[in-house]
Amino acid sequence: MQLEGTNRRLPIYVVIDTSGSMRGAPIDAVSTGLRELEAALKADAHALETAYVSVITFSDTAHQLMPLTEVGSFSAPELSTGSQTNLGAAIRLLVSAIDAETKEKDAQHPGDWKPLVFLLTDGRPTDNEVWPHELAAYKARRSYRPVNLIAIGCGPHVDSATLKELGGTTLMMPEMSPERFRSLFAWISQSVRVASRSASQQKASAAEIRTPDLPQGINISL
Amino acid sequence: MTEDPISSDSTPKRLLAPRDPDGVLAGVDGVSARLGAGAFELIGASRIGRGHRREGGAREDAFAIAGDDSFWFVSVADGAGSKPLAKLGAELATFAAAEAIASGHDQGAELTSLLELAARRALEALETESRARERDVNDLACTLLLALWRNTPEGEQLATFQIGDGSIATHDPTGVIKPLCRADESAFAGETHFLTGSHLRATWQSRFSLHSEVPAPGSLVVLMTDGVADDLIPLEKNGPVLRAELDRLEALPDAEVRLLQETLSYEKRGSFDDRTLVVVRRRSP
Repeated sequence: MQLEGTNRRLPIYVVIDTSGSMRGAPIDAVSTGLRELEAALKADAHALETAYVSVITFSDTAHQLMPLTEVGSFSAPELSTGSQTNLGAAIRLLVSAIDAETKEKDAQHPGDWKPLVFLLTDGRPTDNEVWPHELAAYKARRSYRPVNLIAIGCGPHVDSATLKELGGTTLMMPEMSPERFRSLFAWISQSVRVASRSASQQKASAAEIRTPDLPQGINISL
Repeated sequence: MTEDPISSDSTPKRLLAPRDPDGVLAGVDGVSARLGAGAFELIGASRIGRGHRREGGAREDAFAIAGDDSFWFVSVADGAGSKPLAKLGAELATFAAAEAIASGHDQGAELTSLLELAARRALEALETESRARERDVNDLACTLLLALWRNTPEGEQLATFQIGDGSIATHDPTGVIKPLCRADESAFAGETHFLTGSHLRATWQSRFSLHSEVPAPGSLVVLMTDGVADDLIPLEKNGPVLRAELDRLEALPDAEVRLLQETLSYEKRGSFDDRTLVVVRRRSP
Protein backbone atom coordinates (compact mmCIF):
# COMPACT_ATOMS: atom_id res chain seq x y z
CA MET A 1 0.00 0.00 0.00
CA GLN A 2 1.45 3.37 -1.02
CA LEU A 3 0.12 6.37 0.91
CA GLU A 4 0.46 9.98 -0.13
CA GLY A 5 0.87 13.08 1.98
CA THR A 6 3.48 15.12 3.77
CA ASN A 7 5.25 13.93 6.87
CA ARG A 8 4.99 15.21 10.39
CA ARG A 9 8.00 17.31 11.39
CA LEU A 10 9.75 18.24 14.61
CA PRO A 11 10.56 21.96 14.17
CA ILE A 12 13.75 23.12 15.91
CA TYR A 13 14.48 26.86 16.24
CA VAL A 14 17.92 27.97 17.43
CA VAL A 15 17.78 31.65 18.40
CA ILE A 16 21.20 33.20 18.99
CA ASP A 17 22.22 36.50 20.56
CA THR A 18 24.83 38.11 18.28
CA SER A 19 25.16 41.37 20.19
CA GLY A 20 28.51 43.10 20.65
CA SER A 21 29.28 41.23 23.86
CA MET A 22 29.29 37.96 21.92
CA ARG A 23 32.06 39.23 19.61
CA GLY A 24 35.24 37.15 19.38
CA ALA A 25 35.64 33.81 21.08
CA PRO A 26 31.97 33.38 22.11
CA ILE A 27 30.53 33.82 18.62
CA ASP A 28 33.27 31.64 17.17
CA ALA A 29 32.36 28.95 19.67
CA VAL A 30 28.67 29.24 18.78
CA SER A 31 29.52 28.95 15.07
CA THR A 32 31.52 25.82 15.81
CA GLY A 33 28.65 24.51 17.89
CA LEU A 34 26.20 24.98 15.03
CA ARG A 35 28.47 23.05 12.70
CA GLU A 36 28.73 20.25 15.25
CA LEU A 37 24.95 20.29 15.64
CA GLU A 38 24.62 19.91 11.88
CA ALA A 39 27.03 16.98 11.81
CA ALA A 40 25.42 15.22 14.76
CA LEU A 41 21.90 15.47 13.35
CA LYS A 42 22.98 14.38 9.88
CA ALA A 43 24.42 11.24 11.47
CA ASP A 44 21.14 10.38 13.20
CA ALA A 45 18.63 8.43 11.13
CA HIS A 46 15.66 9.45 13.25
CA ALA A 47 16.56 13.15 13.23
CA LEU A 48 17.17 13.02 9.49
CA GLU A 49 13.59 11.88 9.01
CA THR A 50 11.79 14.12 11.48
CA ALA A 51 13.82 17.16 12.59
CA TYR A 52 13.77 20.47 10.71
CA VAL A 53 16.07 23.25 11.86
CA SER A 54 15.98 27.04 11.65
CA VAL A 55 18.54 29.59 12.87
CA ILE A 56 17.55 33.09 13.99
CA THR A 57 20.04 35.68 15.20
CA PHE A 58 19.40 38.98 16.94
CA SER A 59 21.44 42.03 17.77
CA ASP A 60 20.47 45.46 16.38
CA THR A 61 17.65 43.65 14.63
CA ALA A 62 16.61 40.01 14.15
CA HIS A 63 17.28 37.86 11.10
CA GLN A 64 16.26 34.38 10.16
CA LEU A 65 19.53 33.15 8.68
CA MET A 66 18.13 29.71 7.91
CA PRO A 67 14.42 29.03 7.37
CA LEU A 68 13.01 25.79 8.73
CA THR A 69 15.04 23.25 6.78
CA GLU A 70 15.16 19.47 6.87
CA VAL A 71 18.30 18.19 8.53
CA GLY A 72 19.64 16.65 5.32
CA SER A 73 19.70 20.08 3.66
CA PHE A 74 20.66 22.11 6.72
CA SER A 75 23.94 24.00 6.54
CA ALA A 76 25.18 25.89 9.59
CA PRO A 77 25.20 29.60 8.66
CA GLU A 78 28.06 32.01 9.23
CA LEU A 79 27.44 34.31 12.20
CA SER A 80 28.42 37.95 12.58
CA THR A 81 27.93 40.25 15.53
CA GLY A 82 26.21 43.62 15.87
CA SER A 83 25.77 45.90 18.82
CA GLN A 84 22.43 45.82 20.67
CA THR A 85 20.41 42.98 22.26
CA ASN A 86 16.99 43.41 20.70
CA LEU A 87 15.31 40.40 22.27
CA GLY A 88 11.85 41.77 21.51
CA ALA A 89 12.61 41.72 17.81
CA ALA A 90 13.90 38.16 18.13
CA ILE A 91 10.74 36.94 19.84
CA ARG A 92 8.57 38.68 17.24
CA LEU A 93 10.51 37.06 14.40
CA LEU A 94 10.47 33.67 16.12
CA VAL A 95 6.69 33.76 16.52
CA SER A 96 6.27 34.93 12.96
CA ALA A 97 8.49 32.13 11.66
CA ILE A 98 6.70 29.47 13.71
CA ASP A 99 3.33 30.68 12.48
CA ALA A 100 4.49 30.68 8.87
CA GLU A 101 6.56 27.52 8.85
CA THR A 102 4.86 25.01 11.13
CA LYS A 103 1.56 23.32 10.51
CA GLU A 104 -1.32 22.42 12.73
CA LYS A 105 -3.34 19.35 11.89
CA ASP A 106 -5.92 19.83 9.17
CA ALA A 107 -7.44 17.86 6.32
CA GLN A 108 -4.23 18.02 4.31
CA HIS A 109 -1.53 17.70 6.96
CA PRO A 110 -1.19 15.48 10.05
CA GLY A 111 0.24 18.43 12.01
CA ASP A 112 3.79 19.02 13.20
CA TRP A 113 5.14 18.20 16.63
CA LYS A 114 5.33 21.05 19.09
CA PRO A 115 8.29 23.30 18.11
CA LEU A 116 11.41 23.10 20.22
CA VAL A 117 13.23 26.41 20.69
CA PHE A 118 16.74 26.97 22.05
CA LEU A 119 17.37 30.62 22.86
CA LEU A 120 20.94 31.70 23.70
CA THR A 121 21.71 35.15 25.12
CA ASP A 122 24.45 36.69 27.22
CA GLY A 123 22.80 39.95 28.21
CA ARG A 124 19.53 41.69 28.89
CA PRO A 125 17.15 43.26 26.35
CA THR A 126 18.16 46.69 25.11
CA ASP A 127 14.99 47.33 23.12
CA ASN A 128 13.19 48.72 26.14
CA GLU A 129 10.34 50.16 24.07
CA VAL A 130 9.65 46.93 22.17
CA TRP A 131 10.51 44.14 24.57
CA PRO A 132 7.60 44.49 27.07
CA HIS A 133 5.08 44.61 24.25
CA GLU A 134 6.56 41.56 22.49
CA LEU A 135 6.82 39.65 25.76
CA ALA A 136 3.16 40.29 26.50
CA ALA A 137 2.16 39.17 23.02
CA TYR A 138 4.28 36.05 23.35
CA LYS A 139 2.75 35.18 26.72
CA ALA A 140 -0.76 35.59 25.35
CA ARG A 141 0.07 33.38 22.38
CA ARG A 142 1.64 30.75 24.58
CA SER A 143 -1.74 29.78 26.02
CA TYR A 144 -3.13 28.61 22.69
CA ARG A 145 -0.04 27.86 20.62
CA PRO A 146 2.69 26.78 23.01
CA VAL A 147 6.25 25.84 22.20
CA ASN A 148 8.87 23.94 24.17
CA LEU A 149 11.31 26.76 24.90
CA ILE A 150 14.70 26.30 26.52
CA ALA A 151 16.36 29.64 27.25
CA ILE A 152 20.07 29.49 27.98
CA GLY A 153 21.63 32.43 29.77
CA CYS A 154 25.36 32.61 28.98
CA GLY A 155 27.97 34.47 30.99
CA PRO A 156 27.81 36.60 34.14
CA HIS A 157 25.73 39.49 32.81
CA VAL A 158 22.60 37.70 31.67
CA ASP A 159 19.30 38.54 33.34
CA SER A 160 17.75 35.22 34.34
CA ALA A 161 14.53 36.91 35.45
CA THR A 162 13.98 38.14 31.91
CA LEU A 163 14.46 34.67 30.49
CA LYS A 164 12.13 33.12 33.03
CA GLU A 165 9.40 35.46 31.88
CA LEU A 166 9.41 33.59 28.59
CA GLY A 167 8.32 30.42 30.38
CA GLY A 168 9.67 26.99 29.57
CA THR A 169 13.03 25.98 30.98
CA THR A 170 15.77 28.45 31.86
CA LEU A 171 19.35 27.24 31.98
CA MET A 172 22.40 29.18 33.11
CA MET A 173 25.93 28.75 31.77
CA PRO A 174 28.01 31.22 33.80
CA GLU A 175 31.27 30.52 32.02
CA MET A 176 31.49 31.36 28.30
CA SER A 177 34.58 29.37 27.41
CA PRO A 178 34.81 27.45 24.11
CA GLU A 179 34.73 24.22 26.11
CA ARG A 180 31.45 25.18 27.75
CA PHE A 181 29.91 26.14 24.40
CA ARG A 182 31.07 22.82 22.99
CA SER A 183 29.37 20.99 25.86
CA LEU A 184 26.27 23.11 25.41
CA PHE A 185 25.90 22.32 21.72
CA ALA A 186 26.61 18.65 22.33
CA TRP A 187 23.73 18.74 24.80
CA ILE A 188 21.50 20.59 22.32
CA SER A 189 22.31 17.96 19.67
CA GLN A 190 21.49 15.17 22.08
CA SER A 191 18.27 16.93 23.11
CA VAL A 192 17.15 17.16 19.49
CA ARG A 193 17.99 13.52 18.90
CA VAL A 194 16.04 12.47 22.00
CA ALA A 195 13.14 14.72 21.04
CA SER A 196 13.00 13.36 17.51
CA ARG A 197 12.66 9.86 18.92
CA SER A 198 10.27 10.56 21.72
CA ALA A 199 8.03 12.91 19.77
CA SER A 200 7.18 10.19 17.31
CA GLN A 201 6.48 7.56 19.92
CA GLN A 202 5.15 9.37 22.91
CA LYS A 203 1.68 10.49 23.45
CA ALA A 204 0.90 12.71 26.39
CA SER A 205 -1.81 14.92 27.77
CA ALA A 206 0.55 17.86 27.23
CA ALA A 207 3.59 16.75 25.29
CA GLU A 208 6.64 18.19 26.98
CA ILE A 209 10.22 17.76 25.91
CA ARG A 210 12.43 15.27 27.68
CA THR A 211 16.05 16.35 27.72
CA PRO A 212 19.23 14.48 28.58
CA ASP A 213 21.20 15.24 31.71
CA LEU A 214 22.86 18.65 31.69
CA PRO A 215 26.62 18.79 31.21
CA GLN A 216 28.93 20.19 33.85
CA GLY A 217 28.82 23.98 34.09
CA ILE A 218 25.21 24.34 32.92
CA ASN A 219 22.46 24.49 35.52
CA ILE A 220 18.73 24.90 35.63
CA SER A 221 17.73 28.32 36.95
CA LEU A 222 15.10 27.76 39.61
CA MET B 1 -3.60 -9.98 37.34
CA THR B 2 -1.30 -11.49 34.75
CA GLU B 3 1.06 -9.51 32.55
CA ASP B 4 -0.68 -10.82 29.46
CA PRO B 5 -4.43 -10.76 29.93
CA ILE B 6 -4.99 -11.40 26.24
CA SER B 7 -3.83 -14.98 26.66
CA SER B 8 -6.10 -15.58 29.62
CA ASP B 9 -7.98 -18.90 29.58
CA SER B 10 -11.04 -17.14 30.86
CA THR B 11 -11.67 -15.61 27.44
CA PRO B 12 -15.39 -15.93 26.73
CA LYS B 13 -16.18 -17.83 23.56
CA ARG B 14 -17.67 -14.81 21.86
CA LEU B 15 -14.55 -12.76 22.50
CA LEU B 16 -11.70 -13.49 20.17
CA ALA B 17 -8.26 -12.56 21.40
CA PRO B 18 -5.85 -11.27 18.77
CA ARG B 19 -2.65 -13.27 18.63
CA ASP B 20 0.17 -14.32 16.39
CA PRO B 21 0.19 -18.09 16.94
CA ASP B 22 2.20 -18.92 13.85
CA GLY B 23 4.80 -16.24 14.30
CA VAL B 24 4.00 -14.87 10.87
CA LEU B 25 5.98 -11.72 11.53
CA ALA B 26 9.08 -13.62 12.53
CA GLY B 27 9.74 -11.88 15.77
CA VAL B 28 8.04 -8.59 14.99
CA ASP B 29 5.58 -7.59 17.70
CA GLY B 30 2.18 -7.94 16.07
CA VAL B 31 -1.15 -9.70 16.44
CA SER B 32 -4.22 -10.22 14.30
CA ALA B 33 -7.69 -11.66 14.67
CA ARG B 34 -10.71 -12.52 12.54
CA LEU B 35 -14.23 -13.17 13.74
CA GLY B 36 -17.51 -13.94 12.03
CA ALA B 37 -20.47 -12.31 13.74
CA GLY B 38 -23.76 -13.08 12.00
CA ALA B 39 -23.90 -11.07 8.81
CA PHE B 40 -20.60 -9.37 9.64
CA GLU B 41 -16.95 -10.19 9.58
CA LEU B 42 -14.42 -8.45 11.80
CA ILE B 43 -10.73 -8.48 11.01
CA GLY B 44 -8.10 -6.61 12.94
CA ALA B 45 -4.36 -6.30 13.22
CA SER B 46 -1.92 -4.44 15.42
CA ARG B 47 1.73 -3.99 14.51
CA ILE B 48 4.66 -2.42 16.31
CA GLY B 49 5.85 0.86 14.82
CA ARG B 50 9.28 1.61 13.45
CA GLY B 51 10.08 3.79 16.45
CA HIS B 52 9.47 1.17 19.13
CA ARG B 53 11.06 -1.50 16.97
CA ARG B 54 14.20 0.52 16.36
CA GLU B 55 14.56 1.26 20.06
CA GLY B 56 13.83 -2.31 21.15
CA GLY B 57 10.56 -1.23 22.74
CA ALA B 58 7.16 -2.87 22.81
CA ARG B 59 3.95 -2.26 20.88
CA GLU B 60 1.64 -0.09 22.97
CA ASP B 61 -1.48 -0.44 20.83
CA ALA B 62 -4.07 -3.11 21.55
CA PHE B 63 -7.47 -4.23 20.31
CA ALA B 64 -10.15 -6.79 21.06
CA ILE B 65 -13.15 -7.98 19.08
CA ALA B 66 -16.29 -9.84 20.10
CA GLY B 67 -19.55 -10.83 18.49
CA ASP B 68 -22.09 -13.46 17.57
CA ASP B 69 -25.20 -13.58 15.42
CA SER B 70 -26.81 -10.73 17.31
CA PHE B 71 -24.05 -8.16 17.86
CA TRP B 72 -20.46 -7.17 17.27
CA PHE B 73 -18.08 -5.13 19.35
CA VAL B 74 -14.63 -3.62 18.83
CA SER B 75 -12.30 -1.95 21.32
CA VAL B 76 -9.06 -0.25 20.34
CA ALA B 77 -6.55 1.52 22.59
CA ASP B 78 -3.23 3.30 22.26
CA GLY B 79 -1.10 3.43 25.38
CA ALA B 80 0.40 6.77 26.36
CA GLY B 81 4.02 6.32 25.36
CA SER B 82 5.09 8.74 28.03
CA LYS B 83 3.77 6.37 30.73
CA PRO B 84 5.62 3.33 32.07
CA LEU B 85 2.73 0.84 31.93
CA ALA B 86 1.11 2.09 28.73
CA LYS B 87 1.24 -1.25 26.92
CA LEU B 88 -0.41 -3.07 29.80
CA GLY B 89 -3.00 -0.31 30.13
CA ALA B 90 -4.03 -0.60 26.49
CA GLU B 91 -4.31 -4.39 26.69
CA LEU B 92 -6.27 -4.34 29.94
CA ALA B 93 -8.67 -1.65 28.78
CA THR B 94 -9.51 -3.26 25.44
CA PHE B 95 -9.92 -6.70 26.94
CA ALA B 96 -12.02 -5.55 29.91
CA ALA B 97 -14.33 -3.59 27.62
CA ALA B 98 -14.81 -6.54 25.27
CA GLU B 99 -15.29 -8.93 28.13
CA ALA B 100 -17.97 -6.71 29.63
CA ILE B 101 -19.93 -6.83 26.39
CA ALA B 102 -19.24 -10.47 25.49
CA SER B 103 -20.07 -11.90 28.87
CA GLY B 104 -22.84 -9.61 29.92
CA HIS B 105 -24.55 -8.79 26.68
CA ASP B 106 -28.13 -7.91 27.61
CA GLN B 107 -30.46 -7.90 24.65
CA GLY B 108 -32.81 -5.53 26.43
CA ALA B 109 -30.33 -2.91 27.47
CA GLU B 110 -29.86 0.35 25.67
CA LEU B 111 -26.93 0.25 23.33
CA THR B 112 -25.28 3.31 24.81
CA SER B 113 -25.79 1.89 28.32
CA LEU B 114 -23.92 -1.23 27.29
CA LEU B 115 -21.15 0.86 25.83
CA GLU B 116 -20.97 2.93 28.99
CA LEU B 117 -20.61 -0.33 30.92
CA ALA B 118 -17.73 -1.31 28.64
CA ALA B 119 -15.96 2.01 29.10
CA ARG B 120 -16.48 1.87 32.86
CA ARG B 121 -15.11 -1.68 33.05
CA ALA B 122 -12.09 -0.61 31.04
CA LEU B 123 -11.34 2.16 33.50
CA GLU B 124 -12.01 -0.12 36.48
CA ALA B 125 -9.52 -2.62 35.08
CA LEU B 126 -6.86 0.08 35.04
CA GLU B 127 -7.77 1.25 38.53
CA THR B 128 -7.65 -2.31 39.88
CA GLU B 129 -4.29 -2.93 38.26
CA SER B 130 -2.85 0.32 39.55
CA ARG B 131 -3.91 -0.54 43.10
CA ALA B 132 -2.42 -4.02 42.80
CA ARG B 133 0.86 -2.55 41.65
CA GLU B 134 0.67 0.43 44.01
CA ARG B 135 1.07 2.74 41.06
CA ASP B 136 -0.70 5.84 39.87
CA VAL B 137 -3.53 4.90 37.53
CA ASN B 138 -2.14 7.40 35.04
CA ASP B 139 0.86 5.10 34.60
CA LEU B 140 -1.58 2.91 32.67
CA ALA B 141 -2.98 5.76 30.58
CA CYS B 142 -4.37 4.93 27.17
CA THR B 143 -6.90 6.14 24.67
CA LEU B 144 -10.07 4.10 24.18
CA LEU B 145 -12.23 3.70 21.07
CA LEU B 146 -15.33 1.53 21.26
CA ALA B 147 -17.98 0.46 18.73
CA LEU B 148 -20.99 -1.76 19.46
CA TRP B 149 -23.51 -2.82 16.79
CA ARG B 150 -26.84 -4.54 17.27
CA ASN B 151 -29.98 -5.17 15.30
CA THR B 152 -32.74 -3.66 17.41
CA PRO B 153 -36.51 -3.50 16.95
CA GLU B 154 -35.92 0.05 15.74
CA GLY B 155 -33.47 -1.21 13.14
CA GLU B 156 -29.73 -1.58 13.03
CA GLN B 157 -27.87 0.66 15.44
CA LEU B 158 -24.24 1.39 16.11
CA ALA B 159 -23.04 3.05 19.30
CA THR B 160 -19.58 4.57 19.53
CA PHE B 161 -17.39 6.07 22.24
CA GLN B 162 -13.99 7.72 22.00
CA ILE B 163 -11.49 9.21 24.41
CA GLY B 164 -8.27 10.32 22.80
CA ASP B 165 -6.98 10.37 19.26
CA GLY B 166 -7.35 7.82 16.49
CA SER B 167 -10.52 7.36 14.51
CA ILE B 168 -13.82 5.50 14.35
CA ALA B 169 -15.21 6.00 10.88
CA THR B 170 -17.26 4.65 8.03
CA HIS B 171 -15.40 3.82 4.84
CA ASP B 172 -17.64 3.78 1.78
CA PRO B 173 -17.07 1.84 -1.45
CA THR B 174 -15.50 4.85 -3.15
CA GLY B 175 -13.00 5.22 -0.34
CA VAL B 176 -14.57 8.17 1.47
CA ILE B 177 -13.78 8.01 5.18
CA LYS B 178 -16.23 9.79 7.48
CA PRO B 179 -15.45 9.95 11.20
CA LEU B 180 -18.24 8.92 13.55
CA CYS B 181 -16.61 10.47 16.62
CA ARG B 182 -14.54 13.52 17.34
CA ALA B 183 -10.96 12.79 18.30
CA ASP B 184 -9.27 14.63 21.17
CA GLU B 185 -6.44 16.51 19.53
CA SER B 186 -4.58 19.76 20.15
CA ALA B 187 -2.83 22.11 17.79
CA PHE B 188 0.33 20.02 17.77
CA ALA B 189 0.76 16.29 17.34
CA GLY B 190 1.09 13.85 20.21
CA GLU B 191 -1.12 15.63 22.70
CA THR B 192 -4.42 14.03 23.57
CA HIS B 193 -6.68 12.85 26.39
CA PHE B 194 -6.76 9.47 28.08
CA LEU B 195 -9.30 7.15 29.66
CA THR B 196 -7.65 7.71 33.04
CA GLY B 197 -8.19 11.47 32.98
CA SER B 198 -10.42 12.02 36.00
CA HIS B 199 -11.28 15.50 34.77
CA LEU B 200 -12.85 13.88 31.71
CA ARG B 201 -15.49 11.86 33.53
CA ALA B 202 -17.90 14.75 33.22
CA THR B 203 -17.49 14.58 29.44
CA TRP B 204 -18.16 10.87 29.03
CA GLN B 205 -21.86 11.27 28.27
CA SER B 206 -21.10 13.56 25.36
CA ARG B 207 -18.68 10.99 23.95
CA PHE B 208 -21.34 8.32 23.40
CA SER B 209 -23.19 8.57 20.15
CA LEU B 210 -25.79 6.46 18.37
CA HIS B 211 -25.85 5.95 14.61
CA SER B 212 -28.76 4.41 12.73
CA GLU B 213 -28.36 2.09 9.76
CA VAL B 214 -24.58 2.13 10.01
CA PRO B 215 -22.72 0.68 8.21
CA ALA B 216 -24.62 1.37 5.01
CA PRO B 217 -24.54 -1.37 2.38
CA GLY B 218 -21.06 -1.59 0.93
CA SER B 219 -19.55 0.53 3.65
CA LEU B 220 -17.10 -0.61 6.29
CA VAL B 221 -16.70 0.50 9.86
CA VAL B 222 -13.04 1.07 10.69
CA LEU B 223 -11.38 1.72 14.02
CA MET B 224 -7.76 2.79 14.05
CA THR B 225 -5.17 4.26 16.33
CA ASP B 226 -3.53 7.52 15.31
CA GLY B 227 -0.58 5.56 13.93
CA VAL B 228 -2.86 4.67 11.02
CA ALA B 229 -5.40 7.51 11.11
CA ASP B 230 -2.79 10.26 10.82
CA ASP B 231 -0.94 8.46 8.03
CA LEU B 232 -4.17 8.46 6.00
CA ILE B 233 -4.16 12.27 5.81
CA PRO B 234 -5.14 13.56 3.28
CA LEU B 235 -8.14 11.27 3.46
CA GLU B 236 -9.43 12.09 0.00
CA LYS B 237 -6.25 10.65 -1.51
CA ASN B 238 -5.51 7.80 0.84
CA GLY B 239 -9.05 6.66 1.64
CA PRO B 240 -9.49 5.05 -1.80
CA VAL B 241 -6.03 3.50 -1.55
CA LEU B 242 -6.88 1.85 1.75
CA ARG B 243 -10.30 0.76 0.50
CA ALA B 244 -8.79 -0.92 -2.55
CA GLU B 245 -6.36 -2.70 -0.27
CA LEU B 246 -9.13 -3.88 2.08
CA ASP B 247 -11.25 -5.04 -0.85
CA ARG B 248 -8.27 -7.02 -2.13
CA LEU B 249 -8.08 -8.80 1.22
CA GLU B 250 -11.80 -9.56 1.40
CA ALA B 251 -11.73 -12.79 -0.57
CA LEU B 252 -8.56 -14.12 0.99
CA PRO B 253 -8.81 -16.84 3.63
CA ASP B 254 -5.98 -15.31 5.62
CA ALA B 255 -7.15 -11.71 5.41
CA GLU B 256 -6.29 -10.91 9.02
CA VAL B 257 -2.73 -12.16 8.59
CA ARG B 258 -2.31 -10.17 5.39
CA LEU B 259 -3.74 -7.11 7.12
CA LEU B 260 -0.95 -7.49 9.64
CA GLN B 261 1.82 -8.53 7.28
CA GLU B 262 1.06 -6.44 4.23
CA THR B 263 -1.46 -3.64 4.72
CA LEU B 264 0.02 -2.30 7.93
CA SER B 265 3.60 -2.66 6.72
CA TYR B 266 3.42 0.37 4.41
CA GLU B 267 6.27 2.84 4.53
CA LYS B 268 5.73 6.55 4.99
CA ARG B 269 8.34 9.10 5.92
CA GLY B 270 8.05 10.29 9.50
CA SER B 271 5.67 7.46 10.41
CA PHE B 272 7.05 5.71 13.50
CA ASP B 273 3.99 4.96 15.58
CA ASP B 274 2.41 1.58 16.31
CA ARG B 275 -0.42 0.79 13.91
CA THR B 276 -3.73 -0.82 14.70
CA LEU B 277 -6.67 -1.22 12.33
CA VAL B 278 -9.91 -3.13 12.81
CA VAL B 279 -12.30 -3.46 9.87
CA VAL B 280 -15.94 -4.52 10.08
CA ARG B 281 -17.61 -5.59 6.86
CA ARG B 282 -20.95 -7.12 5.93
CA ARG B 283 -20.37 -10.53 4.52
CA SER B 284 -21.33 -11.11 0.92
CA PRO B 285 -24.70 -12.90 0.68
